Amino acid sequence: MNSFIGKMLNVDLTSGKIETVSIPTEWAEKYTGQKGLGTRILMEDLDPKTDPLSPQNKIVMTSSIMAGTIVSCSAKLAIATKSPQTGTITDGSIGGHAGAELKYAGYDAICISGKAEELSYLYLDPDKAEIRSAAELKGVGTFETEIRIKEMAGDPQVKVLANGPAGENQVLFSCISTERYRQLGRGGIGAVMGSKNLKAVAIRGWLDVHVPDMKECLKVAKELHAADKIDDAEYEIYTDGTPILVDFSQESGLLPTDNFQEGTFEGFEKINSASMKEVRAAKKACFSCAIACGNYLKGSKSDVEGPEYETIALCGSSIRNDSRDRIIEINSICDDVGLDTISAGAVIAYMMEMTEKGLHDFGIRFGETEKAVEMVRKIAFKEGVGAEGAMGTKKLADKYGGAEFAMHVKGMEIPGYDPRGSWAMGLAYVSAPRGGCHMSAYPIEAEAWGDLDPYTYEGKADLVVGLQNSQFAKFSMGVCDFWPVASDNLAKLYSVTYGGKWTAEEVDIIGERIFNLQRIFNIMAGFDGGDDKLPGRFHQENLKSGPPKDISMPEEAFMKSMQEYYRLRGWDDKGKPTLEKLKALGVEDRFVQQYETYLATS
Amino acid sequence: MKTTIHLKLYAGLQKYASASDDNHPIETGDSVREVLNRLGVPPDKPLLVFINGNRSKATSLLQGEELVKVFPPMRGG
Repeated sequence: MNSFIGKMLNVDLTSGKIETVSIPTEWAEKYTGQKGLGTRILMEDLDPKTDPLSPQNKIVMTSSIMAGTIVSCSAKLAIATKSPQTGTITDGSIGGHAGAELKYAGYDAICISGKAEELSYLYLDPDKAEIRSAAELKGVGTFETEIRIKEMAGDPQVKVLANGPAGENQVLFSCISTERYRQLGRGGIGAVMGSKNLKAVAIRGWLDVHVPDMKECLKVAKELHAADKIDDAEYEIYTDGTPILVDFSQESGLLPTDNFQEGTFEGFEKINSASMKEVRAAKKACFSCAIACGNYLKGSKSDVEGPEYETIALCGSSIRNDSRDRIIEINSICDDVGLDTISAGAVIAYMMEMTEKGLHDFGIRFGETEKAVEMVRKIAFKEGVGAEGAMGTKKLADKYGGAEFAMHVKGMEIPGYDPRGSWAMGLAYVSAPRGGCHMSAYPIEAEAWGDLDPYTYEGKADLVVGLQNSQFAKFSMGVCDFWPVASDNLAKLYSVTYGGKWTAEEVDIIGERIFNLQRIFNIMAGFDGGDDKLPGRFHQENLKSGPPKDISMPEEAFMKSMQEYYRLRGWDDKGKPTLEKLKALGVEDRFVQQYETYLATS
Repeated sequence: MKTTIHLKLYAGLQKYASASDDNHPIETGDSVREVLNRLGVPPDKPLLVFINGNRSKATSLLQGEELVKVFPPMRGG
């Protein structure tokens, strides 16, 4: 099969109807795979006003053009849906082997809608696709679910995307797992699966994937491999993985501490990479990966692949937890029950601050890490106060107050970088389509760790726009974040895997087109520039330590910088893409018309 | 004049020295790059340097007694 197969499996869980449909080649040309293709498929016939937890919502799983080829670090699987946490479009990607397996099963994508009568799983291989009962797995954690699905399918080689009890209980920040320790689902993709009675997706493939010129593909892949040094034994993601960022964030004053009241943490050396490596049992890689960023750790009570930096920041310093073992324990529980560790840690930190300030007694304070472990379970099963936590920080703040320190954007909790130490990161957080997210752009590299002044907005809107366009293209082509491949080399890789002769400019336009398509989805879902805002804390409170000591982000200048961002994007002053811009980007006429009608009638 | 610094190297740089050397010998006026060159760190390797908690450059000069932390270029996630 070609690297773009042109096939999607459509699954209606309500009727049980399963059919294979064609994906137009034009979609691959305009949106490539993963993030872009998922966005395009979702836009095809999902009303942006759809209730995310209704049967009408769709879950779109997509692989990429490069997945299953010789190209390194390019076999992730993406899922796009409408988020029950934010009401925006949300998408994310997962490592492991599922992305390549989907291609080997003969598909670029799976689109799931409806709601099954009983708890079910979808089984897919090149010969068959079936909805099967998973009733016996009700309430079972992701670790055991994966093992049991393999047994039920009678094939240990099946790749499983498993939902946990948090997703079944429709916790708004529930995510899914594969291969025990890889997760996907910021924005509550687990809850959407739960709402559809979908416990798991099991994929098995044995077909092959062809590229236009194997010799040329191998040559380019090898050259870029060497040029970008992704197999360099000194690459910090190879030697340490993301925990190395703990030291870095501490030095830069970015490490969220006590729910972002501080940017440095006294106990950071107990939870940094050096500490984690003391209990590292092994390293682990995804399909076709030359880096192997995964750290497999053995704690005193549990083991885990991780914790990644974000987990250490949000479930460590931000809740005043300097216990490595307890971070590992929280991480392991979150993975098994299916909770996003960023949001789980952030919600608990908010509850701690609310309790300490006497605004509402959630029965948990900073540093009470044993209670934090219990809270994670309570949230997953919506037990007692956990049922409140399961709402997420935005809804909790709407109910109890403390909005200025409810650390979210559009309802999605902010990850592990205090933007007061890297001002462009604030612009990236508010403009990311899915809410408080560090994946749309990572300007910290250029600011806090690079040559740009981190404490000015000057030139930052331009920086963030460029990074976002490039990242959106990269993630649509399926390349992992940890291969720092620039658009020119992405174009080379795309040319030898898809065919044709692509340029860096064309790659960036693909990214910009996808970014705009996600933006108009959100606009039509009811959002506008008024929602592009940070929690008040970042504007009103100065940090007290580290390089950003005595610094906060002036709100007026921030708003001005967002206006500059909108202008550079070709959007109006309310943050709405103009029709001219959408047309210039080649967004399909039907979407431009749908958007125009929305603007005229809203 | 001979003196010492507290030197901490991170991630892949640790292969050039122990992770933490509280009494690393230098000459007053050495640059960070000169100190690292003597340890065998390639002269063209990009470095991120913090001296006493302040973001600094590899060309920054040392007087002695400083806490010097050196990272390779970072990638987030």
